[in-house]
Amino acid sequence: MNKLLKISFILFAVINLSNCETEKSVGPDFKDYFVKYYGDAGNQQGVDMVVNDDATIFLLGNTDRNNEQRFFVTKIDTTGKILLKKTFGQGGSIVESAIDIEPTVDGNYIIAIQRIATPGGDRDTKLLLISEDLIGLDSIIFDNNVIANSQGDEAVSSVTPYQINGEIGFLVTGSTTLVSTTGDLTDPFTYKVNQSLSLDPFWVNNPGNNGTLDQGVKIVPRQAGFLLFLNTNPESNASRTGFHLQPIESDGDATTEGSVGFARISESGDQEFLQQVVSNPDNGDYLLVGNRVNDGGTQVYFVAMTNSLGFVPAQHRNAGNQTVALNNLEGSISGVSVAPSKQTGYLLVANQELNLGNIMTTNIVLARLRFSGEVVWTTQFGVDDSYKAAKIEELPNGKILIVGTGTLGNQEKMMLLKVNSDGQFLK
Amino acid sequence: MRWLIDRRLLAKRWLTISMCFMLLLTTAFAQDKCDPESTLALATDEFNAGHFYGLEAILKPCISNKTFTKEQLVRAYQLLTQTYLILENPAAAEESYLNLLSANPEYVSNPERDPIDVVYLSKKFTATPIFSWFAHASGNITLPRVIEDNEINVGSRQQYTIKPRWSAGGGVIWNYNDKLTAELGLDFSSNTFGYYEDEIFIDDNLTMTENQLSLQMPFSIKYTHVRQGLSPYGYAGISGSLLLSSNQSFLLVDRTPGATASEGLEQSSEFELNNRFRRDAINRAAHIGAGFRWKYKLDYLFVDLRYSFGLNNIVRNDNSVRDVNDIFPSSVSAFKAGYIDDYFRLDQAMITIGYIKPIYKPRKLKRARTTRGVLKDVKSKSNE
Repeated sequence: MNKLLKISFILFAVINLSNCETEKSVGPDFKDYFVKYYGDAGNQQGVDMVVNDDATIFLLGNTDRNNEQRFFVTKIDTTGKILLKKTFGQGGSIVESAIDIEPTVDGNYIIAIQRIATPGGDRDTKLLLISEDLIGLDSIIFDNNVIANSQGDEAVSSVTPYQINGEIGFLVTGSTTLVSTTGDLTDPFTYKVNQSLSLDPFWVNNPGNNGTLDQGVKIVPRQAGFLLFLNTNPESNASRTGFHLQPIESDGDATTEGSVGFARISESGDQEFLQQVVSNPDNGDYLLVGNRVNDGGTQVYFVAMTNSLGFVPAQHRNAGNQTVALNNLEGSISGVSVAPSKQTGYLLVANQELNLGNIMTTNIVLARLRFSGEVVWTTQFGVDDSYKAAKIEELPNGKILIVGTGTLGNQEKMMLLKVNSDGQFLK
Repeated sequence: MRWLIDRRLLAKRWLTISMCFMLLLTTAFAQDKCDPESTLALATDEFNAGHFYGLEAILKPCISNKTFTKEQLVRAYQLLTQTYLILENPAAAEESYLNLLSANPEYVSNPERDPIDVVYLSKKFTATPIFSWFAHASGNITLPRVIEDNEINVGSRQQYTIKPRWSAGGGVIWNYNDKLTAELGLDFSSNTFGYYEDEIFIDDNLTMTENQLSLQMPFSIKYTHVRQGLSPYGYAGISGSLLLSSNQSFLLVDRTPGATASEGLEQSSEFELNNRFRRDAINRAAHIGAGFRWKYKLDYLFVDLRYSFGLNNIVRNDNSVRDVNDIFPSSVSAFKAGYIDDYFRLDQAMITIGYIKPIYKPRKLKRARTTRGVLKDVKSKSNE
């Protein structure tokens, strides 16, 4: 019996010790969380991304190779594997920088591009329509004569697909140096473009707010008309730049909706600069993220604006927590992108600039916020160099994706981070 | 008649006294000046002359003085063993035979040379070592065997490279018998492997070198085909290792192409990291090996080749992308060099030279070995 026990023990020990780990037992964790670089020779920056219902992801980036500045789209799956990739742009002396990519209602994708046709020249706006297979379908260039027969620099901020009463098209906004008031530097512009990328001539519009440095950030459709979110510093408000909105009628004219017309959203008492506007498809909220700037530096400023409550600042979901206190992180922190979370609250990503004596570094800060705007947790990504976020999205399984730009050696590459719902490189 | 008896008695006494005197003289001579060869010659003569009782006294001084060489000592104990067997003193005969084996653990009685009773006696004894010590030095190469391929720089081409390193150690051998042994070792091992990633975004490349120090504890079952001269052997076993340290060095070469070749720019960045926390501390492996051992005096020299198959993924999944800091979890290697560990096992190939020191232990067997062979030999001799 003793001998049998001994033999059994030895056999057990040998079997356990010689147990071999295989692909099945180890598990492909790196598909659940990762950092990946995408790009080409030269420098590439990540700009935007779209998460599709079929679990594919479109990454939009800009590339500078052999002094040719173009843009590219990479279609990947949720493990980061490249399915398709394509570089667009004319190249040569024409500089094209993509700004925004959005899915269209008919299964394609629209890309907004800033384009400089002549070296040192002004910026134009270009729209490119591509299919899900990254095939270019159509494009249009709005030169500087669109708004008026005049020269001017246009910096497109976003393109928004819309479908209202069966009408499909795109709304484009940004800033232009073609100003309506003498002495202003920039005014916002808005275009409405139909499905065939033809400009609605009645809609070409400069809402003409009375600030000196106005910039349209996003224009979104509503039941009746549209909302333009913009940065402006109206003279009536002590020249403080802030998040503003302007209701727009269906013909493109600025208007007043109910009792609310042109209104300031941010009210920190300092200057605020809006960076991104996201619609929350679950409840119709508008999530606005940007920066609050004062002598103490830059902080993240975030407003969760309830559509149903109107535009009264005190009624924002995160009233009282609009300046996001990211756990007292050092440096200058700029809000970049926000996404509603299926789990709870919001996911916010910001860029933290730190002066480490002889070098400036930029890190990515990821935070989960409660609906009230309070910070649940923060994590940081970066290693003594430049790592910048551009867009954040949450996958249906709660994993978080951040696209941006990382420094690999001495070059910039488009970077994609995938972390768990706690912001960690863990399952 | 009575006087005759008295004279005989007197003569006997004189003879006894004379013999004792001579013995004393011989002993004194031997104690003072132990000439090993003369003593052995005298003892052999006395043995051949049937003078068994004085033999111990003749040989003991040289044994005590340790003036015999090993070979002479063996001859002395051979004589004593035979003498005690003749004098029917088995205890003393056994003790002498044990002493003989201590002098030459590899002594094997031979029916052609030794009396049959000594051959029989020898079957009750052995000097086979139960344990042996060994020490060795090895050259090794380490080969990562990939379980899951992980990549950061999408679209690049990766390969592992090998670099020779060394290990040294020792251990104990348990001799089940002459052929079958179990060995437990403890090695200090230095291992290195490299990783080369090319075509990173067309023009760049990354070189990573990982250096590890570990304690390895291999356990093997070995079978030796015992022969004169070189004895080949083969073995198999398992081993556990404790990782003491692990470091990685990185060299990333960035090439920024220009419109022309002369406008291109090449820059490199280099750094080192402690990556011990990304590795499992305890790892398992199975190994097979084969070699030759060569008899050197009473010990052995050996040369062998071993291949060790890593059994477990040595990469800690939880730490593969992040550093130890939970607040700032970015992995420096991942972010800065675009490197992440594949999930892999570590194989190792070794060539070893070593030395085996058997711990000979002359002892009486609980069960005497068979004498069948002896009888057969004796019979065949008789038939001749």
